[in-house]
Amino acid sequence: MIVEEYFRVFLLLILSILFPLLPLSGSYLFSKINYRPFNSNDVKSAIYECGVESEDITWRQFNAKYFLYALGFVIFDVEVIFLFPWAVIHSEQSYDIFLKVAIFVGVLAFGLLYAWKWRALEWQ
Amino acid sequence: MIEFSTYNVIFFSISSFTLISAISVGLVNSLMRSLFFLILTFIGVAGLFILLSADFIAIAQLLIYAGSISILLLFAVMLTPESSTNNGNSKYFLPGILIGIIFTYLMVALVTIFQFNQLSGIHLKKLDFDNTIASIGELLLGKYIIAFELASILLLFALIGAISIVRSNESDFLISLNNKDKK
Amino acid sequence: MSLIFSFIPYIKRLIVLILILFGLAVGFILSKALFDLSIYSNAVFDFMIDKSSYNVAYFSSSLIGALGIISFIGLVLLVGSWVERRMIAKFQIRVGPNRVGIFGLLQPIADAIKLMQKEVLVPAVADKLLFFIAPVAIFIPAILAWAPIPWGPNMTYLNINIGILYIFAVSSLTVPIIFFAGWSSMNHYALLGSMRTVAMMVSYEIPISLSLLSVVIITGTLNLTEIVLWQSSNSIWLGLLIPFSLFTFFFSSTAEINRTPNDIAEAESEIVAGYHIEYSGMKAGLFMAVELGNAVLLGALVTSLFLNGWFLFGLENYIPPYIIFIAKTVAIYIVLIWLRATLPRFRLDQLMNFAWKMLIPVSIINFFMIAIETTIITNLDSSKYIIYLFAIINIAVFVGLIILWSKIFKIDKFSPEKIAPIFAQKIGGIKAMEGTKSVD
Repeated sequence: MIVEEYFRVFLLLILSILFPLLPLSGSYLFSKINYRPFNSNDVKSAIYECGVESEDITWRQFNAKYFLYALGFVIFDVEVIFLFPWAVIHSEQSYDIFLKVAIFVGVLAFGLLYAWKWRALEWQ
Repeated sequence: MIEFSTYNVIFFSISSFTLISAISVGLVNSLMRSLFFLILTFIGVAGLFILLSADFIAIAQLLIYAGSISILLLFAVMLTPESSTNNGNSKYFLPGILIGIIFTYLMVALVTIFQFNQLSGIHLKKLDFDNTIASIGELLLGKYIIAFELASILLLFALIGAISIVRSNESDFLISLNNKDKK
Repeated sequence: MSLIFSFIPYIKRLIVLILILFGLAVGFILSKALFDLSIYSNAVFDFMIDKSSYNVAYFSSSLIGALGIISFIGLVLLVGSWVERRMIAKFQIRVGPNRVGIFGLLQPIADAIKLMQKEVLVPAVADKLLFFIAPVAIFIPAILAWAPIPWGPNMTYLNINIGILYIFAVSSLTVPIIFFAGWSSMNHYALLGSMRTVAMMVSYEIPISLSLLSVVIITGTLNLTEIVLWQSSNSIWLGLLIPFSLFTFFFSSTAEINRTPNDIAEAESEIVAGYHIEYSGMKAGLFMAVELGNAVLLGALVTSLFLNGWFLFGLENYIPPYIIFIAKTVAIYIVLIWLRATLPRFRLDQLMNFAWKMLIPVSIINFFMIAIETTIITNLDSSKYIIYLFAIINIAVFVGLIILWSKIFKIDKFSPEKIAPIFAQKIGGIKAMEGTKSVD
């Protein structure tokens, strides 16, 4: 019974949200008995930049290289999700199943080689 | 008439969670916050798949959408030059509303017109879905082998497209080749 | 007489040692039933099913298992930080924390109290909602991934058919949370750190999934308990049969959980503290705790996937199986501490190249080879010993592939004379900067 099994995940999910809230509430209690200091000022609430005042907004345009890596990740993730059902039944099958998967992975390996050849994998 | 059973309670709580986070995606000003709610939406959809006893699909949803597509969107947001935390004012406000209404109408029409497979959670409970991943594998490499192979070609095209986005100008490539020869 | 007096400073330690041994002995006697939560869980289920409905009985029996996992993680977080600090101190010939309690055992609790009473600073420009959610939410994947771990026979909290994929999917949710932690503090260092971390973690998730794939190809199942049972029925550890998968999984996972040698997330010398630079007090402590918990989780995963879980050469019949499991887990954790004490940090470009040019292509070759071997094993159906032959072949190919890759593709080309700086005396002046050659 799949739904029943995954109810346990839900139970653990609730407990895992409560778990970090326990020390945080302890921290909150310390502030209630005036033991934890709380006197923020402009210098304290400024962002930490090794003592230098921060210039410019934080959000700047990042390199498109990051996007390429993320896209490569998505592509290989989808590939792996396709391959897991094959992997489960692979040991029960005959030789011809191997050819089907070889085509699938071969096409993507070609893509990886293509990216390599075009120096898209160089991190700079 | 909706009967009050455990399955229905679970279904309506998960779907309301999904819907609320989906609506928040549009209503929240900050782009990053809406991305956060989008991830919550994906997780809620995974919960709905679990309720349909499709555990492999649910995990795939979690892995591909909440784990990978969200990273892709995240980097896409970081690529935008003038995005700030305040994205309230947009010139695409009215067209967006219009497109949204049209799509909502289409979805409602689809759901009401077509006769879907009317198995709800209670009926699915009686069916024994023991090992969904093995049956998916057998179908994928047997009946739907063409789609399986075409998927790899689709993924290859996506990879080549990504490379050509990053290396949009040919000269950049040639310069790097020249540098390589000099070395 | 003087011999006896010379022992006096060690008497306290001796007493503690005797107490520990006594406690272990009592623990072994009691633990056969004491910590086997499945017994309690089944008992509660049988007790409740008479009194109330099935759902209530199921809920209460599940709650015992969930609380067991949570309390184990809590224990690990407390003891683990002590173990790590003491071990690192031993490696660096220091003493380590030894003031609070015996051997400094109460140090983690003192640390927790200290962190709780620290002032919490939130940057004025921070995104308050995500800034608060991130340290809490990062615990969710770290704890949920413990669910399908097989502690012993019939001791799995979540015995599902897709155990490996579940762990992989759940722990992939860590990546966006780390990014939100870095982004919401609106710090240049934090944003840069989280971008780098996300790019690295994303790259290393592919080798992990490919190495898991080869495990699944051989065993034909995604259920962690069945994988452990497969290893015992074929009487071989998967770590020996597929050494490259073990190496890939272990190395890539250190990148995933931000441990040295791959802790680019918090490269102190480059970007101060990485994505959690703006967190103070207990929130920073939560990030550190989650890192430690993930290290132990990696130990548990390697144990159940590659090191035959709770089996240890027939010893599992005499001592409780979960003790063997935890012992193996702790052994892997100590290897992680050893790595942390020994290895320097890699540069980001080295790491990315290693993932994309070495680990991913070789993993693809590796799982193809394993697929061929599996087909031969199942279709020949002649003798059981062919699996040992394949183990030897795989180890040879593992070593061969690494040497081949480093020779042909020159990934690990190390030339000391090229990067060594020329000393000032050699060029007769203090202008050392001009004399040095650049690295590339």
